[in-house]
Amino acid sequence: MRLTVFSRWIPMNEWLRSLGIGEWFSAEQAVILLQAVITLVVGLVLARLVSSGVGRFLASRTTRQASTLARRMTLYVLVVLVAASAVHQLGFKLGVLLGAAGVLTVAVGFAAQTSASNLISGLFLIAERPFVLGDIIRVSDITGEIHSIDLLSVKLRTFDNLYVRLPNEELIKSRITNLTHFPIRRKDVQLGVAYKEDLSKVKAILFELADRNPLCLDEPAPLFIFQKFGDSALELQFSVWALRENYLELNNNIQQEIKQAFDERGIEIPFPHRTLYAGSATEPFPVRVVDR
Amino acid sequence: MSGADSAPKIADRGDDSVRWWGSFSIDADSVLRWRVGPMRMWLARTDREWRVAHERGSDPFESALEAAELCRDGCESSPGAVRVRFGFRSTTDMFRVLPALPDRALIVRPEEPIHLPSGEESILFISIPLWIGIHTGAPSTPLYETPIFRPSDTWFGPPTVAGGSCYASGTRARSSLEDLALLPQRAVSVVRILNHADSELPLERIRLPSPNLSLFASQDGQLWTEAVTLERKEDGQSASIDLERGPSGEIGPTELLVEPREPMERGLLMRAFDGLF
Repeated sequence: MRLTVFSRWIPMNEWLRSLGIGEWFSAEQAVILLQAVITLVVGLVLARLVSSGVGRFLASRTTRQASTLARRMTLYVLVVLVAASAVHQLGFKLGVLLGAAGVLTVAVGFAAQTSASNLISGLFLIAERPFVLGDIIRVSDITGEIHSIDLLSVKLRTFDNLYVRLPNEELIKSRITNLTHFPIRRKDVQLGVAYKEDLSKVKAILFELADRNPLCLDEPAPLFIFQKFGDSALELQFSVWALRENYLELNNNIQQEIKQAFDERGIEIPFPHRTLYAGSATEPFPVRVVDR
Repeated sequence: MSGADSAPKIADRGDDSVRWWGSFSIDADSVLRWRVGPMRMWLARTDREWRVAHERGSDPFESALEAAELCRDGCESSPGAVRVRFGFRSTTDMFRVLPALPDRALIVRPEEPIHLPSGEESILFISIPLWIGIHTGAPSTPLYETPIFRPSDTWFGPPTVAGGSCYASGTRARSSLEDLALLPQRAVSVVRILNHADSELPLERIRLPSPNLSLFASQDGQLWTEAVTLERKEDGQSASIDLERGPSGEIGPTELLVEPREPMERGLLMRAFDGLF
């Protein structure tokens, strides 16, 4: 935008000269600069308002992840538009700038390989949706709730309230376990009972416990699996299903109830056993009882 | 334990059976007690609070029944009971106790799987566990609701698809009403199943949409839902559920007690076959 010189600019030029910056800025340039700054400031504020408005509008209509994503994309697009408009106001030709940026990109690209990889991985993760905001995932030894899914990384909040940043590149390459993807979960209780116990009686007790516990789903039905004849005990697995949100409570309840029922009915859960033989025909070991 | 000087006012139904539901009144600073099956519930009122306490026994088929007994010394709730308090600007003495059907669908199995040949029908009698609800004020608004006996959770459908959370009915569906134990804490639903498809229908389980059903009371104090018809369509893949206006006529005159939690349009509702059987 070209300004014609009006007579009233002349006092402004003198004021700028008196400030000592008259050699660098004339009045016209100062006004253009001011315009660009105002465009930038107002534009950024508007971009913020519009993007949060979009986020609020979508919050009740779509998932949390979709509305956050829409809000971010709107903000980035508007910020880029505002910046381009401000730059244009300053008189720079955007075409030339973009050309220069093309050359710079190659140089920056080499330096920013990791960030670019993270960015692309992030886009693929968003498209593939192995998890969404609020899911609980396990990556190697870290378990936590997804706090945010950002351009370059995913942030987790662990159960002891620590903040973990996982680069998208690492997530795309590694195995992720999503604990909250499906609506029901199975708890596998591993237990051992003494060899002398009657397995059909143990099985009946376990199924009765599952039946009495309201959190344990009737269907899919609980599962009783005989694992093996172990070193010290008969190794069993008793699997019960629960609604995802009740998993932790069932985990604690059912194991406590099993222990209690076994104690009441005299079912022994043995400690590890070692049997000593001194030969094929062993004499009884001599034992001396000492009064204390 | 009820005193003649402050007998609770129960709506007169013209016969002797005790009904644990209805309109009652309670003086301030007094306690009324209910026993419905395994549940014991205490209700107390002060000028600015309603207080509810309840505890459950371990036998869901206990058949105790007492309503609005005035609680004097020695009948307070035990320390293990669940207690809830509600604050009000001021309380009135009138309140209602109403039954309610479960808030999730109910999965019921017949005593043994039944096979329905093409073109045949079967009638099953299903016993549904009830919730007890307290409604206070004028107009009466719901205050508190709890199951009389917490039914077991169960799942209907594939384990990977959300939305299948249901309750297990706790009893088997019976082919004749006489085989069904009629208890105050359970309502009865009569379900007719029709098989219009060419192939046989193996009936191993039924998903009864309890939140869409209403509750009716017959003259003897038994609670019923409206009659339900489940039809398997000719294509064998789709099924429909149809609700009558009330329980079937053989039961005798009934009155509507409670509307459905979630109304369903009267008439046919097409569902996938897998959604009902």
